[in-house]
Amino acid sequence: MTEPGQSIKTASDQDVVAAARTGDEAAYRELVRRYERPVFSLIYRMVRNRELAEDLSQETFIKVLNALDSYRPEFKFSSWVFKIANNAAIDHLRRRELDTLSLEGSPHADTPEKLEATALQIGEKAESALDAVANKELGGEIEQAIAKLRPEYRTCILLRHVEGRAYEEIAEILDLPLGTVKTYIHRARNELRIALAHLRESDQ
Amino acid sequence: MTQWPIQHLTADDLDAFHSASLSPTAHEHLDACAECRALVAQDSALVAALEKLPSFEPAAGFSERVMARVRPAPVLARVYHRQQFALAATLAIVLGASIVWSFFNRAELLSWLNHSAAAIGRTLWGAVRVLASNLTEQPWFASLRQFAASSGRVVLLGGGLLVGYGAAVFALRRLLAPPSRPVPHADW
Repeated sequence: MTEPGQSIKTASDQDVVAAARTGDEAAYRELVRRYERPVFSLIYRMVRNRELAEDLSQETFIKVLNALDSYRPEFKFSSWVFKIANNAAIDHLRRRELDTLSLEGSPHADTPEKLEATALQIGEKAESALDAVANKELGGEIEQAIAKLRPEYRTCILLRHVEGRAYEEIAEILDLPLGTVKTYIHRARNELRIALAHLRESDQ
Repeated sequence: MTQWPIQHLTADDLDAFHSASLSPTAHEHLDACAECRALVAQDSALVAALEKLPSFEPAAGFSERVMARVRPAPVLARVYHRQQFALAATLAIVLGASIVWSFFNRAELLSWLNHSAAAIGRTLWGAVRVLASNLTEQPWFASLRQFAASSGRVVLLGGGLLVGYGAAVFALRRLLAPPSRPVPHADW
């Protein structure tokens, strides 16, 4: 628990969580303040849509704060938060994948024209202002290359090299064996090196 | 001349290089292998670029929006804790008071207990008598008594029941045993 004189801003995650469990609103705010940027950045890079990333980040924090009683202090709090954030992003990507299948057109369409017509009925929309912001923010070559990685590689590489998490913590966050996490990160780096090779060639 | 076996740096070696813990053997290989030096240079540049990626911030008022949707939880928790505490305190007071009272009113307590025990005993005995008289007045009771008068028939009936029980257990075990061959589509 935080001592009366001790600032909540300097307290450890475990102490802030303990204070939040007693209903201390300042502790709730402190947990959001500490993790809003890393959680939002991770989700934003996963879903590549600012508005959606805000919604999913909000959902993540609501889940975290409402389930503080079920948090087990023997695990790192950050791992728990990232696990919930990653699950939110992955669930969304899976749902979107299903939607994309339906965008290909009705399975009952028997001519290419009907297929095209039914496909256009769902989900087609122009780039919104927020999408435009996202495209600008995530428009760098490296961001584009990250976006092309498989979602599980993307999470691993972002947690390891952008958020600076240890392999063991990533394994805990993703519920994967340590060896699998290492393999994913190495494959992701390999794919990124290949994707960015043209930059090196243009430098030479 | 040193003969290098073609043992290029592994993915673990690359990690070791980034954390400045590359083994001397791998270092020696790196000094001699231009291919691996190029790989290390590219990987280092990539890791450095990834580490420099900016972190993004949600729109202003994000924490307010989150707090607006979770604020009732701590308040509710506090109310719930207060209610739990009040209930526990009430129970403790009632229990303590009853213990203190029983110390000062032992004789009265004993007479109550004796009276209650006698009443419970009378009620139970009455229930047994009612049950027994109901049983003996049933129309099938006479034939049951006649059947039970012969010990041979009782033994026969007992044996039959035992065999039936054994057969049922055996059948159940057969039914619950896992199949020896895989069942198609059972891995859904």
